[in-house]
Amino acid sequence: MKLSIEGVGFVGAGLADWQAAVEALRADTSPGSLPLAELGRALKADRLPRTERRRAGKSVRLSMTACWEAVESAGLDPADLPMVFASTSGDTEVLSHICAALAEPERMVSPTRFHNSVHNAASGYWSIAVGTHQPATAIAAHHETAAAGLLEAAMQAVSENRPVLLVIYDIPFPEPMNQAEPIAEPLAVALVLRPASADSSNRLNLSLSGEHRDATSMQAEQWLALWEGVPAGRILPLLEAVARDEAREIAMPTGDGPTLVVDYEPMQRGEQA
Amino acid sequence: MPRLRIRRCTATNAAGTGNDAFLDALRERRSGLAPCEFLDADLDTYVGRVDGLETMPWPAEWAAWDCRNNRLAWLGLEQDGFVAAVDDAVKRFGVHRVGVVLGTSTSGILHTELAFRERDPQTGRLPTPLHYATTHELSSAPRFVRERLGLKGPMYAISTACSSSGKVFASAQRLIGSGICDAVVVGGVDTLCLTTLYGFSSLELTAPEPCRPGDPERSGISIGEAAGFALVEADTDDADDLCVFGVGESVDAYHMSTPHPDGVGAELAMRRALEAAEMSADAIDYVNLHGTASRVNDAAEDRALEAVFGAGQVCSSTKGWTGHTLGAAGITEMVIGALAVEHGFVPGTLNTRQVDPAFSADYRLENRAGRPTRVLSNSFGFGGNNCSLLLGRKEGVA
Repeated sequence: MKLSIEGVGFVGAGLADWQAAVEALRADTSPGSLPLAELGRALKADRLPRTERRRAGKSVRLSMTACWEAVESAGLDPADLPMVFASTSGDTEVLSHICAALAEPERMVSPTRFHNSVHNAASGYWSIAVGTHQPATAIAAHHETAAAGLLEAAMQAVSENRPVLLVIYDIPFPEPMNQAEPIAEPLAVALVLRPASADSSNRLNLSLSGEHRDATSMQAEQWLALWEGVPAGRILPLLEAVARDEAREIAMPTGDGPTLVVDYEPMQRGEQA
Repeated sequence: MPRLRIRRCTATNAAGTGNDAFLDALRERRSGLAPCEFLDADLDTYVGRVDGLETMPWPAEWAAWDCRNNRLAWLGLEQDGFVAAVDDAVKRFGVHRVGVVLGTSTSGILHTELAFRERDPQTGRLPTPLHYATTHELSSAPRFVRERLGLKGPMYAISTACSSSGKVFASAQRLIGSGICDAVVVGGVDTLCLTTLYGFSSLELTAPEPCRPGDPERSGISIGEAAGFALVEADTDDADDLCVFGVGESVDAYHMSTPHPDGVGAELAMRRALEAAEMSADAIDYVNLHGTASRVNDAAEDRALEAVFGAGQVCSSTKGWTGHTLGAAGITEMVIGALAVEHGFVPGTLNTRQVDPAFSADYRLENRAGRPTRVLSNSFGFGGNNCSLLLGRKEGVA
């Protein structure tokens, strides 16, 4: 499947946008760290109306912030884009609150918290914000979530011959869940993917290899913890290639199953008019 | 998108374990709903519970996967020769060419809910190991099914609330159409848990009686649990199996937990399914409604039906048999559609005494013999997420 990346959005760890991530990936400086408790303040760019912002979970706001950046850099109307939202556990904070509340004698689950607990909460808020009726798919595959999301979004783009918005995102669980299922940092990566045409730059060629291959790692050593510690971080080797303008073949293994092989080719120097 | 040939399908829910028992219950109008006696839930409602999951023997080598959701997945997989049909697909295509895509809304969250009751009173720690990835995480059931069936194709979960196991058919079309898979195990598994029981109750959406879809006095949903699977492949000209002709997907862009009152997204999903199948509305003999018996859903869906088909479209809701099985509703009702076509009948709407006089569709209450050849099956969910499946026989289709 041949595609091009038309836009990138990034919010993760201590970095607020894709430009900050590009600089850190080029210089191999640490992406930093952000405690879950401070995440809310960092998400001013979700563009939700104030009432919705009060209701929405942090994972919703995180993923929407990345989506806005990707869609705007692609220069496309978000209402035209089908959506693939990929996350292993969605709103970990909401899920933890519900499980804790159900262990108490009163068992109080608020209606808002309940509807925020569905895995497609983020795509729901996004679709309302941009007023789209395009299909929205919410996906999970634990540590294979990034590969599954990329595969599903690529198939949608190629089979319908249209651009698709993909966002891959996670937020850490609060304690005590964090001990059982550690997710190191909040991270959201949004990509607008389009079927490749003759003059596209930022090209991807996706294929599925039946054999298991080891995952392609990061070259930026300061980023290894984010790559390994966050399921959504499995997409970072691709972002590193994009940031550094380097052709690279990236293997994304899926358990003991097949390996998603992503061949990235940046714009050739001097090619751009 | 390729037309999908349904090589095998199976459904397990409160009304029956496997297709034969489910078909008997449908024909004899036996509901699977009963007063809620699930764990210590103190709620005045009815549920569609699958008996015996707690006492099912569970092999020690699968201990890390032990949760209500995977127990129901296992029970469902063992019905209707499904495992043998998948083995046959593996022989024909190879393990790497058969994928697994399952829908769920809450997966094995019950496992974590119960673990929170066992927290250490001093430290607040959960009992270890929790086995989160193989019990609670959303892809635990498709991963379990992939392991049980020995498959090595792509695997993921779709979790778009109550449209989840309708949308898996769209993913299967893409996996097959893109040349990545030759066959896909699709379906859904969702089980009773306190999150959905207390959550829907907080929204005042659970009925104090068995649900009565389309009734002017309907008072909400009955929550159910189910597992259902279908083995799908690309259609071939000589095959006479049932097919999924088209899948329609949309979102409402209206509200997180309430459908658009005019059924805007529902209408779009149905139109897109017809478009994908290259069929006109009059090709549809029967619509299996989402029909949850919530006040708003049933009214909005009737408006959407009128917009697509005009007044008088033959339809019914089968939630009175199974309850609303949430992330497994799409596959459960796809199997009902398949049974209706194969066995020549149109199911009615169980428990409903009369049809809401405001509705324009031909809302069937009694079962009726007939030969439906094309069925549209609707599944709509929170987040305004909608999916319609168009399935049936190929007779008369170019």
